[in-house]
Amino acid sequence: MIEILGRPAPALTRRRAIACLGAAGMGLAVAGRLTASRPAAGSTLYKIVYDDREAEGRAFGAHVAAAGFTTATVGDDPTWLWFDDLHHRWRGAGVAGLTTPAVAFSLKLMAELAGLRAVIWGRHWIGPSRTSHVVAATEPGLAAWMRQAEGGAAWTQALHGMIAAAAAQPAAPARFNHASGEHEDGAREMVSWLLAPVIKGSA
Amino acid sequence: MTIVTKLPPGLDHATFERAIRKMAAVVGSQWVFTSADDIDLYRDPYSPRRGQPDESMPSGAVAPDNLEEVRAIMRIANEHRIPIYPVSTGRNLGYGGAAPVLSGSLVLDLKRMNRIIEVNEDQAYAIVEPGVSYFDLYRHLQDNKIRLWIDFPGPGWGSPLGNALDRGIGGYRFETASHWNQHCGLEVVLANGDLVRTGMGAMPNAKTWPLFKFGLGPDVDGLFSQSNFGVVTKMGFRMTREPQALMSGIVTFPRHRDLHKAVPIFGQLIDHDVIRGPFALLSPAVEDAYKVDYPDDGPFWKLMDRAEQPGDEECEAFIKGTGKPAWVAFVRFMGIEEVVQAQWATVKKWFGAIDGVSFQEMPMTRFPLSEAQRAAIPMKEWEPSLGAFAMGTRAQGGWPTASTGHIFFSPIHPLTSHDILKARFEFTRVMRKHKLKTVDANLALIANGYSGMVMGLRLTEDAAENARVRAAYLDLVKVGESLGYAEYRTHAMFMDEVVSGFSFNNHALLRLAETLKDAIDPKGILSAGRYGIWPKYLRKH
Repeated sequence: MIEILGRPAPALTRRRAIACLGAAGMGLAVAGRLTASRPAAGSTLYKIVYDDREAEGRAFGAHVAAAGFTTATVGDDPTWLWFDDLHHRWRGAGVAGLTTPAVAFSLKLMAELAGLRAVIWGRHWIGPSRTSHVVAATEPGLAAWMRQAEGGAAWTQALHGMIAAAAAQPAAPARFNHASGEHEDGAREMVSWLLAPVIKGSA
Repeated sequence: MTIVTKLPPGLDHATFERAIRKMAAVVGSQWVFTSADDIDLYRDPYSPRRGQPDESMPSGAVAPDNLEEVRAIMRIANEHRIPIYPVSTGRNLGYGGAAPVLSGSLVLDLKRMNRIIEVNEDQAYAIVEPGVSYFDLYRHLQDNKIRLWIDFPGPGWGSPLGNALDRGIGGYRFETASHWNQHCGLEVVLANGDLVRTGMGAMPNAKTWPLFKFGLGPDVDGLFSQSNFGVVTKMGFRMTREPQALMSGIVTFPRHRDLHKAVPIFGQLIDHDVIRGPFALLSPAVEDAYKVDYPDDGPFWKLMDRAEQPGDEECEAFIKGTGKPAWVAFVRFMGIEEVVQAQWATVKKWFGAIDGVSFQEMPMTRFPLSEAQRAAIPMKEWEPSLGAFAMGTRAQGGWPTASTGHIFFSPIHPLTSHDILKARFEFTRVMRKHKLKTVDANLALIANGYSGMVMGLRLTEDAAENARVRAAYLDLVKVGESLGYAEYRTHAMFMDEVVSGFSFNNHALLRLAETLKDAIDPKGILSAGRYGIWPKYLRKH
């Protein structure tokens, strides 16, 4: 099923409800207004972080490593990854990941204090029989996610495509939403994210 | 620049935009934030009103770099009557974040003022600006091999200055665990734009500004804590020397009634400087009742659902049925190794008189650590961390499922077994009435002369459930008031309600604060409504 959602994401970078609009499967979101922020020129991705305790994290890590991205692993506490590494480098680049919600949330807060913004924020509920998603991203990133997902790629692989597409574009805050059905009871949540420097400016 | 945000009462867009343009001329336009994306960063990520019509929203933010820019902004705010809401760094999650009490206020974001003015290892103090975080200070100590420790709260992203002003708490020693206690000397831009240094700092070239708190004459520092009379731009505070040794011990009490003997002993051990820092006391026997799979009609809830607080015999029978100990205390010692050993030996000796009590001693850590030793310790309790963000956000070990945040209810009560049990019973009943659970209701924090609780009320993505949390919070405040227990700090959303309980002599304390407010901030521009102190033009009475 193809859906045209394309509505602005008013609370996209937060962990608040984004209504589950789709019934099942992947929808395509391509409409809506463009970003109100001017992109940061030459924004590049410094590193991709993944939770290597989870199979989905490892699969995602393998996809991005194979694509040539520098990777790092994280568990429940990102303190020293942030303190010793990301903190020094992410102002001039961007960092992406697939982690627990808590790690994603804490890194997002730290990134925002440093002037970065959430360019992708995807919530993935991995249930016993299916995985559902609520993804907020920039237009090229979300379009890449949809293309790959519609083509039958594993969601972790589609995630890699979305991040790669968004990272190749100048960074702008997430604007587009995609949702794919209600999540199952007992599903565990992982969050995909891309935090990148954004230059403030007019629309 | 187009400004589309909600403005505070009585302010029109033209005036607001004029003021914003002037402020941009002071700080640079890149440090004035009025777009929806930017404003969003100053909303409370944990607000129970998130997305609701009554959510408190700032109208924008301005981020000065230095003292003179702060003063210039205050002058502009006074000229145009722009409500200003200063924040430091970090976000005070659980107590309202950076969102102003008065919706439409302009956030004065001080995070660019992040200079560590001085760290004196010999005298064990630091002087910092508001934008310095615990992590910044920790990094400075590490980079310069300074053997001082910081007493920090949960996540280390916050500001030592901001947390002290909010009277946050940490955990090493009673002297520093109350972060306001450890402050020594302030520099403040008053709401009227005047600049003040308190304590010995009032004397130019004073050598003891961060060493002797009181200076000479009235001690006015407290006016700037949990208030809205000035913008604190520098603070001195005492730091903790790296100890020779650090050791934790666990004291386990098998029976319910042991609490009546144990608490007075704890009080004496604190008074005699044997236990030197705050610690936690909880009941393992009760812990399971707060988990999701505990039956709603389980024996614990049968006890708690009764109209009267259960007696010792009934509690004893319940605890016996669980097969778990009634109470566990986690104490910590730090300092000179011989003293630490003597302190722990004294604890064991004094509690050894209680039948069946047991002790568990954690390995002693000796400082300084080699690099290899440091690397071998995964969780270092003396280092700030982001790990606290995981609290309540991931389902683990049978605790309630992941939440999207929490708000804290933090009442203080006397250090007696009666009050510990009473507080747990009454506050748990309120939660029960609203069909909510928090394991924190089972946790008493023991300090020097008082005890307290910090209950995290979980928020979810369900607005109806969050509304129930709000109702429960107000009930908790009222029940606390009826028992004579009040919070030591509170969430920005509930400040009026909590302050209203401090009503002695027709709210004389609040009236005094309002008199001061009118004198120091006649135009009412600074942090309107913070801790119930409203400017005259917004007062409801």
